[in-house]
Amino acid sequence: MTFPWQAPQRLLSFLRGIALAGAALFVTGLYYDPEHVWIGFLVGFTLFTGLAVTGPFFLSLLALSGARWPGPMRRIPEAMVSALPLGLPLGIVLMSGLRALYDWSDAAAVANDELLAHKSAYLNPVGFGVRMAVYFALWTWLGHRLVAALRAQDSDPSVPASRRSIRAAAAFLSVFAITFSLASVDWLQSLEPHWFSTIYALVVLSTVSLAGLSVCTIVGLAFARKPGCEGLASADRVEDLGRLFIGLSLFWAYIGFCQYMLIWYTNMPEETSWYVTRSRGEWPIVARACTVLCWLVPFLALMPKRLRRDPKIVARVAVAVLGGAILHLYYLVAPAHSRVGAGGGLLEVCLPLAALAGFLWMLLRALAKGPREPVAGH
Amino acid sequence: MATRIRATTLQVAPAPTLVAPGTRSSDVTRDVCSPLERRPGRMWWIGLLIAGSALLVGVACVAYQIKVGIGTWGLDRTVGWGFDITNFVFWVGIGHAGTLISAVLLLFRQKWRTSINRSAEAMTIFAVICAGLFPVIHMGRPWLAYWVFPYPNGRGPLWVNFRSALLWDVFAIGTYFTISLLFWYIGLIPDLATVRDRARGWRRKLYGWLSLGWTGSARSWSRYEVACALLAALATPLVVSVHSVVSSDFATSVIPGWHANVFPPYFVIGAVFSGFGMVLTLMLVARKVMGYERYITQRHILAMCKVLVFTGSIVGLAYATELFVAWYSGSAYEQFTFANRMRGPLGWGYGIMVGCNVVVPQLLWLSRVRNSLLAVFVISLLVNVGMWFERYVIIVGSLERDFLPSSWSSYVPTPIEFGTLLGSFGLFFTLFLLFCRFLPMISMFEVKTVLAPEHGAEHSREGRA
Repeated sequence: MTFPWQAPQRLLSFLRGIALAGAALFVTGLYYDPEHVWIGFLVGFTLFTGLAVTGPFFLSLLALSGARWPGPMRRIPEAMVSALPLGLPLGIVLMSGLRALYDWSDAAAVANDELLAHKSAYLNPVGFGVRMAVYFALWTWLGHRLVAALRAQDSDPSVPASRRSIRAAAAFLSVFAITFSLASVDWLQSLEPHWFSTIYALVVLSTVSLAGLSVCTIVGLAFARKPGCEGLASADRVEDLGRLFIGLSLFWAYIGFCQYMLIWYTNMPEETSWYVTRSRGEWPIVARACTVLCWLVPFLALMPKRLRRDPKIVARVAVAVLGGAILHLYYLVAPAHSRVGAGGGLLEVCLPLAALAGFLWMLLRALAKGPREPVAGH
Repeated sequence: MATRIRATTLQVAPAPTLVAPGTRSSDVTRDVCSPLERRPGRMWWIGLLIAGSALLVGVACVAYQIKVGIGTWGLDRTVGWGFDITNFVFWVGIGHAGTLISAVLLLFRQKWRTSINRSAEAMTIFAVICAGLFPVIHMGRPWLAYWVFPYPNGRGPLWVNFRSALLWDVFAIGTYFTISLLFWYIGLIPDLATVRDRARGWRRKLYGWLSLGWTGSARSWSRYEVACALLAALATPLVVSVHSVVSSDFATSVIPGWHANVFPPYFVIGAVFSGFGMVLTLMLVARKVMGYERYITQRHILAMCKVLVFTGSIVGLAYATELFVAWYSGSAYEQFTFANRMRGPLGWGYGIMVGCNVVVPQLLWLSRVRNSLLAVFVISLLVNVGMWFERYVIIVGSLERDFLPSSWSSYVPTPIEFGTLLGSFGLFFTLFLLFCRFLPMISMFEVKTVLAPEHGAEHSREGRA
């Protein structure tokens, strides 16, 4: 069964317009409110690259576990990979905002701070840039290799072809585990450079995975409403998506709880600082909103089997979870700059949304250009 | 090139079914029930003799240390936890694979679990029994062990400390044991009925009583499946919660090397890793001794190898994360603890732990190693050794060198502690051997559902009649 993965031209123009407006807002914002702009940009950057890299991450998990349930929906994470090459240019833009975002990029601050001086062997602008280039090079190369191997397997379902895709998946996953852990320290944890947490990479991974699953679900279920695409969202597949939402949202809550509980319990000042910052102002409300959107909503709404099999309900839950995941990324970034309260500016809302629109635009374009043939096994 | 061709040809003929082709459902019933119906072979008696002797050594040691007190152990004021808690965490971890296989893989519709789930669940229960012994003995007055339960009592305002991770253990492991036992027993019922139908005399009565009057009617099956799905859903969070709570025994402290936020997921994945190591060890022996080669096939072993290399690599990532963050934190205590872990008095233990848990499983990437039963068996044994050492290094290594050099000490386990560890292995294998002898070791009704399609019709007649 072939699927016409063609999104309406109006939608594509709309998404591109928002992305371009975001870019314009970013440039103008640099002049009158650089602090908010850079916070908004970092949230958008993490969201964009996080979504792009969850594509090959999901694909490698599916390939290694031999999952066939996604069927034609596998084309969506495949298309997500096509946004990865834009990560490095965005990262280069981020490099010019290092001074606004990261205390460790300021040589004077490092000289007066013993801890920053200790960490400067790792946290320094050159290392940051080089590592980022390495992450994107590896993700882009191995991600495209994985997609190519999976697509080759569609037309050639022989054993050597499947071995090649399993190897590509294992290679991506091994490299991803290490590079993503380091990237989470570089981009987000080092915003508060005195603080550290061994579980932090999983906090970020669970959040971007939730965002990635939401995007796959929303795009897939939206296409399923088009004539000729009904087979995309069979009740069984919708239920499997719903189950994944329950599982991933539980994982998100579990990881967040582990970090919070252990820091609260031991109450050591070098660790509590992160939560102390986030206990002031509006941040506790943001934290609760994240918990409701990322965990409570999918957990309760999808628990009854009838609702879990309903594409409308699952799509709505996906929208809520996507909102929660973006909010959580914001929660990870913004409080580091204590002068900025929650809801500090329109820029922090607009830039991540523009990044999302830009990502969706690239995803939909890649889907339209990508193969329409059925995936292997369907 | 020759290797590649060989590897490819091995893969070209994937088993169409999970059990050896040509197996009929009547073969399943016969193969699984017959060990229960004939006298056990010589290998079984030799195994029981060895396991029983080890158990007796353990009983003697436990009796001695209860009589004399836990001063018979090598603990002191600095090292308050040694072999006891190491063994406790080791055994709790072993159990995890059983729950993962029976509950999580059921929810993920991984059909290959059908041949091994029964014995993996049995292993869970026996491992939890072994684990529970150690804290109870460590109490010093095990006859007062029931004091850990919070109930209205006549001891004045003496209540357990709800804020202590040790009390959370009581609840976590108590729940885990209860649910695992229920899940295992409910899973046994249809097979016990099959054994009953083949038995005569008192055995028929006994198995009839155990199978709770199972009739195999459509209604029974329908309710049965609902019950199993519910228990699987209940057991799934337990896979995560039990070892998270166990890790909190350490992570809620302020001891460097114990307090790490990543401990809960890191311990869970380590537990699954060690559990699969033990399942592989047991299954490789069982398929040989019991002649179950057609049910526990190469495909099962390959799947378990995949899990082993996946979880082992995550364990390696967790070790690397700990080292990186110890440096990154800038905390002198953290840095010292990890330098001491690698190069201090227990550096050799750290070497064993990294070698066995991270390096050795990587060999499973090679298809030649994966396809060699002997190599997989050796790797599974090394994983067990490595995971025991992981707990030992974390627990003892971190305590021996705490904040104050004046209170540093060296822990040397006494023969009594070694004897107790040996006894726990004796208990585990004795229980497992008795299980092989008296209960159907392979889930017959589930294996029958994965037979080749042409036998499916027969299955539904025979298996459900």
